[in-house]
Amino acid sequence: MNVSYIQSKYSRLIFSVIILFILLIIISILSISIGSSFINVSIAIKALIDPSEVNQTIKIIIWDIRIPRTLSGIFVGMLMALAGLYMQTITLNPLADPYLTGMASGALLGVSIVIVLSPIIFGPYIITISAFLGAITAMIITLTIASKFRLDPIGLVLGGIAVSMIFYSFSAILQFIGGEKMVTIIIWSLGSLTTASWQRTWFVFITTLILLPPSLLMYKQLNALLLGDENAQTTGINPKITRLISLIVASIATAVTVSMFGVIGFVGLISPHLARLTLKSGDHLLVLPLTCLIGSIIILLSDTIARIIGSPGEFPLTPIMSLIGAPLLLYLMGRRWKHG
Amino acid sequence: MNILSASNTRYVISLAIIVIILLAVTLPLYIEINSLKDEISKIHNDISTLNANSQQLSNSISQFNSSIIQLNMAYKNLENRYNELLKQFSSLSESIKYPITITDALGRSVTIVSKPTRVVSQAPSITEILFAIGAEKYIVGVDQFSDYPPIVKDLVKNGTIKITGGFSTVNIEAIVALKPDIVFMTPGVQTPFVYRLAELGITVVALKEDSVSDVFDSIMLVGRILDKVDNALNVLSTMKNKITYAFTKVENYIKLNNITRIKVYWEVWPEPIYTVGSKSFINDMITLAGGINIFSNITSGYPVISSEEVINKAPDVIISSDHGGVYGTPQDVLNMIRNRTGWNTIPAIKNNRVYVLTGQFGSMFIRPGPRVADAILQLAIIFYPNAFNMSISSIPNIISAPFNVTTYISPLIIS
Repeated sequence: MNVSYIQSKYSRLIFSVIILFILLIIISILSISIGSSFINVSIAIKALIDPSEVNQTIKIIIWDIRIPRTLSGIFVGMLMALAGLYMQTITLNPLADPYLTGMASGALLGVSIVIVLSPIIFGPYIITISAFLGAITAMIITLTIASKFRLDPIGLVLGGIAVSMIFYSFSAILQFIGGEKMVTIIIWSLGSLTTASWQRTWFVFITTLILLPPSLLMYKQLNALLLGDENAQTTGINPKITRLISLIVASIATAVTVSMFGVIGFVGLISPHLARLTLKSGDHLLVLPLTCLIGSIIILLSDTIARIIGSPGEFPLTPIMSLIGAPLLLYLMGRRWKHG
Repeated sequence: MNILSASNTRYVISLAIIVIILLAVTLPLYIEINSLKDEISKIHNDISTLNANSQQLSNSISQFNSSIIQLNMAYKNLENRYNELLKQFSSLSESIKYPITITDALGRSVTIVSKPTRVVSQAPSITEILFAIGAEKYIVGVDQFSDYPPIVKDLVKNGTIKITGGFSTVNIEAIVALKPDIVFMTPGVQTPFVYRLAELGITVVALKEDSVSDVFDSIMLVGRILDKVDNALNVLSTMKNKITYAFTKVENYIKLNNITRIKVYWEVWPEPIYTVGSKSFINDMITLAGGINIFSNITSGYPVISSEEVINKAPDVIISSDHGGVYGTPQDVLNMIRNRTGWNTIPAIKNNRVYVLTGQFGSMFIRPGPRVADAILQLAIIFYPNAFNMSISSIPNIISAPFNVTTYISPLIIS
């Protein structure tokens, strides 16, 4: 590893970060001005700088609906991408995503129980809380199973699949019993940022603020995990503890997101791959910030598109995201093969 | 050793941060849970009164066995509700004094500060209510499925009324942009949107729609909120007259000929098969029209059931909608139902009593709005044509227009 190689690695990172950051800002402004009622970009920017100059309705639409939504999108993207990266590193599995430990099925079961079995009246927070508890329960069960296998990747993956299946089956049965309530559950399970309010934005913001710094701090340990357990131990790192901490960080990120905005899939799976393909490196110090940035961009872009093409209603987020993300991944893969 | 201790410090720092994270996540959650406590205790009370009520109801039901008494009860309940509403609202002064505070279908307490003049309706049934009580000039937004009375579509086309999303895909921004004084929505799929709009400072009211008396309540509630109490009472009285007319005809016919009430299977959707349970206004409509819903023992609104179950219960009449063309023409829907495996043993199919309700006519049977009264009357005719001087053979299998009974009763006129 010579100096020039390191320099090129960092310059590539800095270059990508600058480009993507500018892209993120452009998409943010677009997502604030584009919606069912189109607001001129100049008026949107005016409303951002001095809200008192525009009329009350535009002020509410921009400040209470679109800005929380855009900010939520940014932080949710970061959290899900971070969780995805962690899961892939922990399990050494490129197919791992944030829901590996069965958190999506757990949250789905929580929501199904509340929607199907409770009387029709439910408050604004009950879905959030039940999804959070469901996700955490599934995660703890998977973790308990995996800990019997010293938390090794195969134990985690298989344990996660089993727990996920069981939770999913229960929620499928509940959905069937629920009849027309199935629609509510399915819409929830496809994920959407419609419910983004300032309160929820603060929630995901604080979670991001707490989870990101220690994640960056742990880059050496995470890099060591990539070498396999034996090799990791020779560098003085305890793979079991590293995995446990990473798993908890990823789980909190996932649980918070899933409880606020439903099962937002795909972004966690694809962002780390896109970051690695861009940087041509697996070093977490480099990959992690880029992964988060890419996650934000994917979510924001998909949400804006979901709003435009779903008009007058709104499309769910995950399918749109997959439709945008999958071709992008194929393109980057093709480029890599071409260049060897 | 140095490397080891350095990474240990990192673990300690990381662990400390994890503890902070857990605190940060659980603390707001704890606050949220506390705020929910009140609501949960309220729900507890509701459940216990509900339990007491259902106990009472099951006792009284066991006393009556004859089917005519059951029909009587359904009608009497509705009549009582009507009389209650009449008493409550007739005593109201000429015009409403704002602000008023009401409780909506979600148990939320909503205050209306002044008379609303900009109204959004997020369901076709609500749009029909607004037109029926003469509040159509206040409407600034409707959902994309509102198409009755037909003038709604013209008003949307010329821009007087804006579209504010679908039924399950409510467009919050479009609603906010209209600056409505009040938004009427339904509980269920729209519940999260009710809370989100309320958060944005918009007055939202969710309307009950689980039974015919819920429809009565909702019409009066909308009338009260929009200061159209007299009109709402008129609508209610017209509705009640129609239902009474249908009920009296059917009751006399059943008594006179000493027959049992007919068993009805109502198909909401074919794949999977959705029908109506007791918690649906359609179940109420069937009962008030003199039929027995074969799935009234299921307590949810629109349960999924198996094909075998329908064969077992041997309904006398099968009713289906045209499913909006998803399963082909009404004739295709009819053939699909007739040709299901094993269904040829069902009396309704043997006796050619499968009916597909289609078009604008069909829509009155699926909307908990003012036209439920017309729907009940039409159903009574379909169930017991003889009671209305018609023969079973004169009822077509595909019904796209109402049977004319205007000689007996004036129709509900929607201007």
